[in-house]
Amino acid sequence: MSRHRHIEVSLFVLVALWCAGFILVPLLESLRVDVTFVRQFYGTVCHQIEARSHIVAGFPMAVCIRCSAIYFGFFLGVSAVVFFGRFLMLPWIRRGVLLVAAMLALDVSLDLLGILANTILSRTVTGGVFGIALSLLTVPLFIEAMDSILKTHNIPSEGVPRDVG
Amino acid sequence: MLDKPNKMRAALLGGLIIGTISGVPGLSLVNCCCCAGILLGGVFSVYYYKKEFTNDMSPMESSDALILGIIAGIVGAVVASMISSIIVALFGSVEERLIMEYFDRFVSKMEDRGALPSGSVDQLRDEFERSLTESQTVGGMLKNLFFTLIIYPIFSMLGGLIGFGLFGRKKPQSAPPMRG
Repeated sequence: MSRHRHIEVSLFVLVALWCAGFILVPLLESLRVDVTFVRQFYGTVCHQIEARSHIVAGFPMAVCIRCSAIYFGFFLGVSAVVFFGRFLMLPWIRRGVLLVAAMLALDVSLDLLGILANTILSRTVTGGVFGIALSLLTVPLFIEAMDSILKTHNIPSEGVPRDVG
Repeated sequence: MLDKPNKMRAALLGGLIIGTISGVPGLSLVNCCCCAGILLGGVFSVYYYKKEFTNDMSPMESSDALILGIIAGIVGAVVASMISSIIVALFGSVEERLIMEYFDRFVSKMEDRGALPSGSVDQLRDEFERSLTESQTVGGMLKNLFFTLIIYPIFSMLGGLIGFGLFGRKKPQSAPPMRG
């Protein structure tokens, strides 16, 4: 497996674990396992309001609906980049990210200001699209950056370090 | 070609932004919007670093943005912990009362506008009180620092890559031709 492929697969696994984490928390809580520590860990990135979170096995997910949509969208984007490759480095993705970020900000701010309440659908759609767009922008850059760093440290494509000099 | 500029200044500035937004009570609510404060710190560190490049230097690369973001995140986590600890040490329970008053007013307004589902206010208040109490214990501070040292570099790195994707990848302008 090439160095590039190693990086792609590692990223895919890490993002999958992150998403699995906030789904597993309520499942484990339903089995009376104490996962308070894990829930507090995800609490660093989310308000975790129960009424705004999906319910799994009778317990709320460790992140809210919008955050879970963003992370699942990001995971979809990572999967697309990993399985379908570099053609996804699209030239219009920059403007796309700004546009969907603006849509998401609008969905949040209109609700906070009491002008237009958002819904589960609007949170899911804006979050999911934002997650996908973010991954299409950042994942190819991440892979390129990691490849460059590993190359600088003389880690060859086979993934085994070799002696220098 | 000259060497690239040192990353530390840009990373420290980005880290200060992250730490200030995350450590100051009230301002830290910005992070409820998909860790916007942390992402912003990463974006800013790349933006500032890009400004330090001249035409004689080799161009900025994605690996620079990645490393900048990670360093800014680590600095941000430490700064946020320090700011929180200083505020608690200086103001103690006075700070807690002020924050709870401010918090109650804020969430009541949100509930009146319908921006918060009914019943969420109690949950939010309990969570907020718990986090305030924990932040006043050494164990709570260390636990928060542990979480933030993992989370902040990841999101700040993402912010750095966003910044690079948005305005980092441009070729430096070639110097104008000499006129004889």
